[in-house]
Amino acid sequence: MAKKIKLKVSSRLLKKKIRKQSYLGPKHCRFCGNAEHEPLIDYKNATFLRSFLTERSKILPSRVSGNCFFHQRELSRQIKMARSMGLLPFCAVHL
Amino acid sequence: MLHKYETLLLARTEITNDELATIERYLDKHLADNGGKVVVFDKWGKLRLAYPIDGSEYGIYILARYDVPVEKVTAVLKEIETFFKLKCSDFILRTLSVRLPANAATTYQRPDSVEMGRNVTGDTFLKDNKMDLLSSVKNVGDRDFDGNGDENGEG
Repeated sequence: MAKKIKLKVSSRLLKKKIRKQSYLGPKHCRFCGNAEHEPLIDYKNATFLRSFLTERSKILPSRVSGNCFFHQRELSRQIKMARSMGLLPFCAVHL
Repeated sequence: MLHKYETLLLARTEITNDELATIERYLDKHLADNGGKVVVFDKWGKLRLAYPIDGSEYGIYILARYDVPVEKVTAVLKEIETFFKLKCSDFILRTLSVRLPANAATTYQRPDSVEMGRNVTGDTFLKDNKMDLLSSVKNVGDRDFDGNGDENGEG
């Protein structure tokens, strides 16, 4: 009798397969080609910038927010300026 | 040719109107001497800080926008910075100077201040947080109180 060969499938490969099957299309940067939204990236506009922070007040990665590299860099620069002026927190709880 | 600049100041809440006036007068005079001018001098009012700075939970923000001639930019900005750091160190906590693009809009978004913001009372707080049921409970309690009053009147 021939032995049954059981192929090992790693979880990483499984995830890759699922990703390929449920193809959602490329991500879109919400600021690219949107002249109304681009001036919102400003260190004074703290309420808007707060939507790009996690609950621990870390900057959301572009992998999550979907921003392009140019706008992600600009956004993080403005967030850091707002932090230095006390408009945005550095971390969730300041001791 | 003029370049646009803006400076955001973070002051203590104890700052007086006289001190604010001296800052405004200094900027006006200093820029006028060097061929520039102050475009905007906005007081945002009292705001809650994201983290305590120098022991204070609240601060007052002031935004000044001004034009500076290109030849004197470095000297003028250095002078302004030293003025805030040396002569206003009693009531100014932080400063930030930024150059604006030439086509920058005159209007800008800013956070709501504590004083100028909407008055939050008990009823508006309940409505915002979708707890209208609680307010109806309060009304029921009022009615009960009225009923008791009537009974007392009858007795």
